[in-house]
Amino acid sequence: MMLLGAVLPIVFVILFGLFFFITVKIGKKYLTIKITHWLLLVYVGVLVLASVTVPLFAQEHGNIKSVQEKDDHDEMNDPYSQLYSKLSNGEVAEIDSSYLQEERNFEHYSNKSISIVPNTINGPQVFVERKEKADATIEVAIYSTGLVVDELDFSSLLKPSEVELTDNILTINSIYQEFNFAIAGNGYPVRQFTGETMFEHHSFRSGDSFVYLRIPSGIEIEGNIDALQLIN
Amino acid sequence: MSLTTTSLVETVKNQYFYKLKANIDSFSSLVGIQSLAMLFSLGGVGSSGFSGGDISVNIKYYSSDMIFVFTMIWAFITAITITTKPYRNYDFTFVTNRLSSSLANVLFLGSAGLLGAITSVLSGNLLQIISALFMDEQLYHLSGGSSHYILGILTTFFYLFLISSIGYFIGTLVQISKVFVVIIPVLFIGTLFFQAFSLKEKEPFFWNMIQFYTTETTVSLFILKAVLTTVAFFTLATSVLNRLEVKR
Repeated sequence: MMLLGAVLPIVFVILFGLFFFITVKIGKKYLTIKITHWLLLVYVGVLVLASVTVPLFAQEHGNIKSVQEKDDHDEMNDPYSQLYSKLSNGEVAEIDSSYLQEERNFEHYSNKSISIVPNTINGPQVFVERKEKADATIEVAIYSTGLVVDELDFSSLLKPSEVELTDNILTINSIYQEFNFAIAGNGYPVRQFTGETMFEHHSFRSGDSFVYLRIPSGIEIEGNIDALQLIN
Repeated sequence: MSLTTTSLVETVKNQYFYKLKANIDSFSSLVGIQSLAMLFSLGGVGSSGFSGGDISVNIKYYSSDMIFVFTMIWAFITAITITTKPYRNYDFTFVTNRLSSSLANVLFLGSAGLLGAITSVLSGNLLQIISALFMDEQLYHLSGGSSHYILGILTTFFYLFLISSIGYFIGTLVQISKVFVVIIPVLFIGTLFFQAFSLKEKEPFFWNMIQFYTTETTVSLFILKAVLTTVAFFTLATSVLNRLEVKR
């Protein structure tokens, strides 16, 4: 695919050169008229065919929805601040379910201590809440602010951070993800009247991730505690 | 003395269809110039991206902007070309006068503008298919439905017709005197520099002229502005051509 992508401009140049050669050399003979008519007919035909089939080539939107982004400058209301504020206050029940990426439980945990090892460089922020009961279950909830680009919500493409429990070590790692999107918008004269902008005011939500752990009472937390946010 | 009489409408109609055939090469140059614009647009008309944490996002934006600009240039050059002597000599195939010739030219430029507008808007779709097929990218649409196609074709047509009328007027002036070949570019570039070097911090005159049309967000008002300007330029050009001697 990439090779074809590299070759395509060359093919275009050759085709354009051929077209130019035919137009100039055979110039004003009758044959030109026929070629030009055919050229026009084929060109318009290809354009019409492209217009009919372009929805088939675009990605199925599926879970990709259009969302209306609020003013980015309103820091108190942006998803990151809201999510961070609620998680740091332990107000998990008030968090919109759309931010929840994954929930899982590690049951029958019998160790007296747990070592939580988060990836402190690029990984998610980790919040730890102590439960009031000793139910031997470690609850894990992974939240994400979502990935939104120019009002298209790509959150469903995001993979949640990996949380693994081996003996008494709970490791948290995020997965490196690279996305290459092509966004096709309206051409110029249309944008003039719809008020769309293509080169300014892009809206991004960068998919920040948070891990919220609920640890049974009586289990001692070990490891790099400074990297964790303990909920009182 | 001829006993055959012919009406202006009939003459204009005959000339119009003749010009469509005679100037067919301008349509093949339209295909060429739009293909070239598509080639330049393959890398996207803009890009942005961000990375943070373990996420990296690259976004390319595709639209038919470049194709629109190239089509405008084509319309401008086509309008100038049909005012040149070889093309004007085609008129003498028929019983004609300057008025019928000019009206046929206006009709031809209108037809060319319509074809240019349709192909310009539709070629954006071909560009998207090429990018989806040959580039390693996930393509998403932000463009609207059929109403945007109609809006695009309509407004592009008026832009092309407007630029054609300007080209036709300039071409006509050049036919009067070759001095205009120098005067017009000097006036154009001169006003840009004059405004830049003047003490008053004003935007260049031509920039204000362009903004008069490009900042209009109401379709009907834009069409009104474009039509009035187009009529003015074509009327001026026709009246100037009427003053030319026969076969000049």
